[in-house]
Parts: sequence; C-alpha cells; structure tokens
Amino acid sequence: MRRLNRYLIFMISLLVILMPLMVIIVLSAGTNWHYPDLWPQTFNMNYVFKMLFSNHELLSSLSSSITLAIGTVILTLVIAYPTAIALSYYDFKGKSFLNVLIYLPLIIPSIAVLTNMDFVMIKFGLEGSYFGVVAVHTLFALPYAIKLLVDNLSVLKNKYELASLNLGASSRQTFIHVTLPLSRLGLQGAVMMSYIISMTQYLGTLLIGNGNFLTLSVRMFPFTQSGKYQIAAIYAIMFMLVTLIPLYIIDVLITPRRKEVRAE
Amino acid sequence: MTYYLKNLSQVKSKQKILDNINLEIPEDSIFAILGPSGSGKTTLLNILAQLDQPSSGEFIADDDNDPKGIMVFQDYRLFPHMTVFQNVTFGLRMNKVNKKEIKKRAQEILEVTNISELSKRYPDELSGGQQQRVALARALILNPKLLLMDEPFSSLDEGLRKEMLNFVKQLQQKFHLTIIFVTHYKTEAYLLSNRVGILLDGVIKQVDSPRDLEQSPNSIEVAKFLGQSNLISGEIDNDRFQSNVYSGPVETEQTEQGQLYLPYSGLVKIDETSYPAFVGKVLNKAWFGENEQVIIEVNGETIFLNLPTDSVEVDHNYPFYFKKIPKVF
Repeated sequence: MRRLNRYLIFMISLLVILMPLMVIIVLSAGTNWHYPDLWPQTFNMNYVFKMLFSNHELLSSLSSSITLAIGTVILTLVIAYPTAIALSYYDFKGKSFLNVLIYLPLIIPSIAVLTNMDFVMIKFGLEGSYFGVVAVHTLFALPYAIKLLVDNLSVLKNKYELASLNLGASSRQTFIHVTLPLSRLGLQGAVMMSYIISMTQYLGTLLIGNGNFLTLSVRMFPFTQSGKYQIAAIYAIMFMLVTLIPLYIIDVLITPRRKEVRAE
Repeated sequence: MTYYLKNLSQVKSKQKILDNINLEIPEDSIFAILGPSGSGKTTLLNILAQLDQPSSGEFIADDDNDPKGIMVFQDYRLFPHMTVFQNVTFGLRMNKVNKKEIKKRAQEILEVTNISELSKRYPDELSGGQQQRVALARALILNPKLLLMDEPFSSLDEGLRKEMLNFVKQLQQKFHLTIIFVTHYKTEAYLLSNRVGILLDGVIKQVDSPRDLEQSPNSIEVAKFLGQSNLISGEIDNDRFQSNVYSGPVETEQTEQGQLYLPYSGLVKIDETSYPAFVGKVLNKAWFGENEQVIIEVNGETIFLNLPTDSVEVDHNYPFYFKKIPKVF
C-alpha cells in the first residue's frame, strides 16, 4: 500500500512537471491547432529544426544570452565566494547587517531596484553596456550564490584551513589545495544558479540593456504576448536546451568523483 | 630546548579565556594539561600552534623566539579529498621538498605509524584508530620539535585508547619529542605524563605529578575537579578539626570552618599508622581489579574508599588510619 502511494505521488509529480513541457513541444511542432481540437491536426518538426538551427534572430539572441550568463557567473563568483568565506569563517562587526544586505535584492520589489539601478547606470554611463547588464544580473544572482556557498562552507568552517596553515602551508596554498576543493559543491550550486538567473532575466536585461541585448527571454516575451505561440514555444525549447545542457555539463565536470579528485 | 609560557593571557569578546599562564616545559617530555571542557585548553593549544595570538604574554623557547607546535587535532582534520599518502605528505609538499625525499620520508613514517597498507585510502574509509595514526604521521613527517595534541584519545573506544596511548609514548621516546597534550580525562593524563597541569577557568591551578595531585591538591577547586574524593564539612579550632567523621589534627589554612579532603585512594588505610582516622562500618563493596570500592558509614555519614581487594568484610566495623595528617580546605 505504501509502495503504491509512493508510486502514485511520483507519477503525479512527474505529470505536473512534464505536462507543461509536453504542451510546449506539441505547440512548437503542431500546425493547424484550433479550438476545440484536443490535438493539432498536423505535426511539422521541420519548421522547428529550421528555426532552431538557422534562424538568425534566434541564434543571435542565443549568443547574447550565453555571453551575458557567462559574465554573470564570473562576476557573481568573484563577489560571492570571498563574501561567503568571510561570512562563514569569521566573526566581524556588522556581520548580521551584511547578512541582511545580501538578501535585499530579493526583499525589495525588483521593479523598484531596477528603476533605481537604471538611474545609477545612466549616471555612470553604463546603460546599454555589457557590464551594466551583467551587473544587474549579478545583483539578482548574488543572494542565491552567497546562500549556497555559505551553507556549504559553514558545514566545515575553517578547521581544515587551520590544519593546513599549521602544517606549514601558506594562505595561497591553503586556498588552492584545501578551501577550493572542499567547496566544490557550493561552487557548483552557485554557478548553476547564477547561470539560470541570468538566462531568465527579462526586465533587467531590457531596461538596463537599452534594447542592445535581445536575449532569448527578451525575444520570447512579445511572442507569447501577441499569441504567436509556435515561435514562442520554439524559443522556449531553445531556452530549455541552453539551460539544461550546460547544467548537465557543469554537474559532470564539477561533482567530485572520488578517485579523480586530486589536490596536487 | 625548554619551552616557556610567560604571563600568557587571552581575552575574547571581553571574556578572559586564559589568565596569566606561566609554565615551563622541558624538552623530550610529555606534559599534560588537564581541565574540564570550557577551561581554555584548546585556546591554549591554538596559541602554541600559532593558530591564534595571545592578548598578552609570550610563548618562547631556549633557542627559538617564535616556536610553533605541530597540532594533532581532536577531530584529526584529515583532508577528506586527499588519500592517506597525500594527507601525510601535505606539509612536505607545501614546503616544496623534492619528490624523492618526500617519498622516502613518507615510507619511513608510514611504516613507523603502521599505516603503509592504507596509503591509497581516503580518510572516510578508515577507522578512528587508523585516522589518528594518519594524523600523527602527518605531523611527525615534519620532524616537529614540539607536538601538540588536543584531546587525542577522546573519540576512541576504551581498548583502542590504551593502545594509542602506549603508541604515543613509544613515538615520544623514539623521536625525543616534546609533547603537550590537553585532555579532560584524568586517567589519560596520568597514564601518559608524569607532569600534569590543572587548568580551571583559564588559570593553571597546580602543576604536579599525578600522585601529588591526588594526594595533596592545593585547593578545593582542584580537589573537586579531580573528583574521587569525600569532602567532609566541619569546624576548625587551633589546627584541630571537628566533624562527625573525624576529629583531630589537620593541616589547614582555614580558621573557622573547612572541608576535610579524603581522596578515595592513597590517604585512608586499613593498616595501622600513627594517625588514627575513624571507626566505620562497611556497608557495601564493589570489585574492580586489585582494589575494591568500599562504602563505609561513619556516624551517619557515608564515605567512599578504594581499598585493596578482600581487606575488609561487609557489615563489619573497622578502625581506619591516615597515611599522614589530612588536609582541610
């Protein structure tokens, strides 16, 4: 009975997760799908493939999405990793304040943050620039990245670092040989999270990017608004592919597999 | 090379953790620091390992103004992502010793610590005793003059604890190490070291041999911490003690009231001496090896003593004697 329950729960969750995906796939390939038909009258995968691999607009937004995401991942890590180390290893004045500060981008409504960011960006001449957009994406990725890293680092604290220093390693050696390999899982989470957040930023990209960065999400939105569901669905598929494939690669690359992890 | 701790104090968030510690630790010896948890033991070791800076005072040696002890941590802290070999050679690799030398030294030390066959394993594949051997090897490979051990045996089970205790003793003799180790287990401290410092609330209360600590603790705090003693309240009048259990001459600095210190072992005897103590009735006894723990009733008060096995019978009355004049705190 318990097994059956578990099986049922599993199937229902699977259905809930996969149904929207199925709808997107059917939407992208189906032609002549009119109310009240339950199913499109014809399927045409050719159009999907043509769009995916040769549509100039789609490919250019793909490349701008990815370049922004890579920039965001790098900037996020550069800020989040040292912050997380400080928060989990040391006690200092203003630590609890910093802890709240980090979550501000999540607490304050994003439209308020973004309009103010826009002012700042204009003031510093960064509006419409690559760095400006990456900075905005990073702002929203930071809380998640820091949280993931802090959770990871707090488990071990700095006890292994202390052992390493006591054995005569320098701070740099300790960072490379001890801190870095031990925080792999946290780093992996942070990379994945900031990548996804950058990919899904719509408002920030549009507002700060001044229309210079037509990413997948920026292009997709008007299609869904104007009822062009097939193209929107194709964008959505591309969107899923570029999110899931790198996530899988990161997972394979970073997740420590026993015998392969060498600190030398 | 003798090590000196001079007026060492540590204050953290306005709280005094160590208060004016003065110690002299001769080389080629094992010095135990015994204290309850929270007494500042680990803080003291961290300072000696240069993992922490004291608020005041200094730690120096005869010919070294900045000595650094190599630490064996209570939780071993073997790097989980490195094999035993990588763990053991970590210090040498970081100090850029050449590979040939590293291999040679590792081989020697792995053999001494009896873990050669584990060199390719990861820490989580080792038992507690094996992990401790690896931690010891990782420290010993650096040829430390001063080895620091933080509660080294607390996470081992009884049998293994004895084995590792002897092993550490052997290593000390072989490498002529100076070892400072902290523990809250009295037996561990007594078995490993013949000089023990009692650390209570950040203050070194007494440094003595185990026997002297047990037989003549210098304060009631030390006596209470060491446990295994009866404390009998009474009045004092001209160096004479008056209580339900014992009335007679005592050694004391108190003037009106005090507590008679009767350790379970060493002071009270069944054999006659020139210091009669009291007459008591044996209520019960429990065997543990060469001694028995005996419960004695004296004028309505209950006293615990460790006496040689079969020296008394239950329900019999016996006169008891002091080995020397007892102490009152």
